[in-house]
Amino acid sequence: MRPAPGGSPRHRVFVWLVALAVLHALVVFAGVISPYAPEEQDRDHAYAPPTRIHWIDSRGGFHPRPFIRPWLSLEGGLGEFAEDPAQQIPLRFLVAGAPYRLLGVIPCRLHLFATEGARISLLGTDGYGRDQFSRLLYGGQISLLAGWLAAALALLGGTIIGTAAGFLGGWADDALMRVAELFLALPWLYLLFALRAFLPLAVSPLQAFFLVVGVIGAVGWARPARLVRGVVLSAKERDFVRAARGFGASEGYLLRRHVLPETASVLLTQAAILVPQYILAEVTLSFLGLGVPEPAPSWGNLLASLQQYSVLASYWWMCLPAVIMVPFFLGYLGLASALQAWTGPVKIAGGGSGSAE
Amino acid sequence: MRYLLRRALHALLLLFGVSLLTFMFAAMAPGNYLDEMRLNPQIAPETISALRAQYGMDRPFPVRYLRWLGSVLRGEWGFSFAYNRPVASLLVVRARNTLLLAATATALAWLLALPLGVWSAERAGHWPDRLVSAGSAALLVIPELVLALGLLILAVRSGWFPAGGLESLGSGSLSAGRKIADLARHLTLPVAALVLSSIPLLIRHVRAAVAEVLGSGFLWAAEAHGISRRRLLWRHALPAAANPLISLFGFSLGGLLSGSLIVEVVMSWPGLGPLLLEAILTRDLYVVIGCVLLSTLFLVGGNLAADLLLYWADPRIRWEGPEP
Amino acid sequence: MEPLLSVAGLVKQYVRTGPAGGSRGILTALDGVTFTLAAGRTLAVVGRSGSGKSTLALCIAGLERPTAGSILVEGRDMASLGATELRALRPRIQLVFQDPAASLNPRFTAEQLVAEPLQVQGRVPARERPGRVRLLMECVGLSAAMRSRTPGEFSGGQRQRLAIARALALEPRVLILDEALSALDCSVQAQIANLVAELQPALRLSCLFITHDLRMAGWLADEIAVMERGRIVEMGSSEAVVESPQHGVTQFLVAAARARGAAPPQAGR
Repeated sequence: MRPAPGGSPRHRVFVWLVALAVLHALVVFAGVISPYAPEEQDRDHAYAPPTRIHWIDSRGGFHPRPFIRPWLSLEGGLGEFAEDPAQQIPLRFLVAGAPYRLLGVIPCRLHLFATEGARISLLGTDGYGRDQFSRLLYGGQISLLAGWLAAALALLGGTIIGTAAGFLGGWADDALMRVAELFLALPWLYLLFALRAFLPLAVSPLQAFFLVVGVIGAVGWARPARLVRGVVLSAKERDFVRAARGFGASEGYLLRRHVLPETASVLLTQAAILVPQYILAEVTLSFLGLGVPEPAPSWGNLLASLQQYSVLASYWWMCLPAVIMVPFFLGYLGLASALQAWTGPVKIAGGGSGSAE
Repeated sequence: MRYLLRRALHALLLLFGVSLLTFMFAAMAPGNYLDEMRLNPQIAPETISALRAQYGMDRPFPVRYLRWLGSVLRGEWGFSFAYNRPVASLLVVRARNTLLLAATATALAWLLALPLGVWSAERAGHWPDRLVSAGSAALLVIPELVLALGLLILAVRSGWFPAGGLESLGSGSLSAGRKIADLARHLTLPVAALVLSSIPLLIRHVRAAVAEVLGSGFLWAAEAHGISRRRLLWRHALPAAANPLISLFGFSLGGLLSGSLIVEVVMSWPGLGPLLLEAILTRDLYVVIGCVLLSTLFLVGGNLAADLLLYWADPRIRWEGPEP
Repeated sequence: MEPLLSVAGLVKQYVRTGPAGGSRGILTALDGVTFTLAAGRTLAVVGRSGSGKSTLALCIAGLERPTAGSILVEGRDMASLGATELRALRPRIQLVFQDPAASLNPRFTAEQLVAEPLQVQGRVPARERPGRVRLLMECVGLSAAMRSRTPGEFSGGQRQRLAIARALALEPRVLILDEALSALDCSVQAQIANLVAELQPALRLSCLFITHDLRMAGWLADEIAVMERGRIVEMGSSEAVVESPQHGVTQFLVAAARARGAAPPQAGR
């Protein structure tokens, strides 16, 4: 048999993991890569387009070190900008700049690149003149972390409930699965909004972050619970569980040593599916004003200004946060497929085999 | 027949359960709704006392729920504080618009997914299959939000399509034909966003289902009888794949309704989505519950229709019924 | 002397549930089974599929609770025991399943599998376990060098040897082999059968050998009990049962063992 295209399943998983790790590294090291703190404003340069990087000066000379020309506001106050031809500000790399905390803990001052005398905005600025590039990276920290935490919460809840339902059986199983069915009866986003609707709206960014994580995690337990329950039900009947009963193993031991390990592959695949879904949920909530509020950056509220027609029509760089999500989702999707191929069809009780989707 | 009645009853119970669940979420709201409303200058004190009497807003949970349920049965669905009228009157128009959008998008998505999926399955491993798979994968990773924004920018920049809304200004005076054309122009982008976001999953499943059937034995027998390829595919293979596809319909409907929420908001399509958002921001309790419940009604209804279709299409369900 | 195992009037019924959850009737797997097993003896329980022999094995091993009747192990009634007492009794009776691939957790190594009963019962201290495992593996003819392999890396026969080693870990008095040879190739069957035959006197085991193969039963067992539809229809010494079968089912099984293509009796089903 020819090997599968792209290498063995395990190899593919590894490849996607590496790709995702690289993408996430960009966000984790936001402090290093971004030249400015996300809340730094520059009202003189509101809605300035992305700074252009030059290697060739006005006389045609080549400079190995790239340089920028600062934006000047054009007269007439229309908010238009043009480059100042007189100035040439070189790009400096690996400079010490404004302090920040790496990983939120380690104080650091190293920045990948910076300019002196004028600000460099690789992805333009917003209505307050804040550098979108920096905000994008920092915003990624919040959106990605929210997705991960919410997924962890939903998977934890789903595992506990699914295991309880599958292992205990009887009325407990019935009751829990009926409740799960209720949660799954609503369109997912409506369910999310239903819970978010009644919680406080005007909260601080930190509170909002945990609120969003909590809400998403609290409504997302149902599908993982069903899947885990299926795995537990079928694992319970396996001969090796019976054999262990035969030596006098307690139910707790059986659960811990034989049943739960079977859920690992289902949970792993679910994680790869849920994380991007929940990142998107946070982005959607923040976009609509129900998630992380200003001034904290999130990919969602970075896009929020696009709801104004003027911004949508004139300032094209404001939609770049939307584009940045795509490679991440591609990575997660690739990882999820690779995981499904690797772990194979899952034995789920009550209806043949099927991938844990 | 008993099977169908049982499914209908199940659907009804599900709706009750969801309404209860949503009410419980509402009960989690910190603070008292009445107090908040008293602070709101837009709401007259008489309204507040009338509401308190009618909906039992300061009474315990079961009372509030039952009063609301009564209101639903009377056709009012509660009262909107922001609009100062029964919720049902708000819901009707919005629901119609959402239904229009969702139904059109669903129909179009399936109309495109079926041929593409069958074509892909037929030529599995060759370039048409690869092309369709690549295209699907590309669309799959783009979230609805991004698609909607992208299409909106396209509309704004090119001017080919209106940038949102249901109808142009002054369309009331147009003839019926013009009105429909106007509606269609406004419908295009939202439908496109929904179709593009839902089609990848559909294609993938159609392809898988048809590929599985193509690999099974009974088709060879039909082919040996000299039945043409096209007839084979459409009259034999596809119906055999109907079972998982009809289930897929129910499953994908949920995703479509969720997608429609965000598409409606971004593209200013006056459906349930924007109403829900507005109700959340203005703390309009019964409108929120109404929107959520109505969207669930659509989903449950769609699933019930899928069950009906399955019952009709798959003889196994009829014969192997649970009755002893 | 008291028999090691004494089963009297054993009844096991299952309630069949339909897909909608309602009851669909009662399945009687065991319908009053009575026999005794003395120390050091081998009893074979032979029957066709669905005769209830596997259910019998599960009940005696304590993995299913009988609906009625009694199982006396060394004079003590299993049904009357509390949870801790039952747990203490388990080492006495051990079961080897039909399919070793299913009864051995594929994620465990051979060492972990054989040591598991010791770990669960907790009577053997951790540092002594590796030595025990090595002993047990060598006892069943497996090299101790294979202790880090997972079941997937063993052949079918080796897996079953592993399962037997595990079953012997707690030094049982009664070893139940539930179709333990059926999943193996013919040549391997003989090897494992020989292994059991050797181990039995050496470890002073009593064996309950569940099978549908009368030939193997006759070869391995002292006594044979023939089961049909939850009842023992014939019982006697191996020679007697094989040489002169009385009941129709026994005759069918004897014929099936001797030649292929024997017609089943019209058992008025």
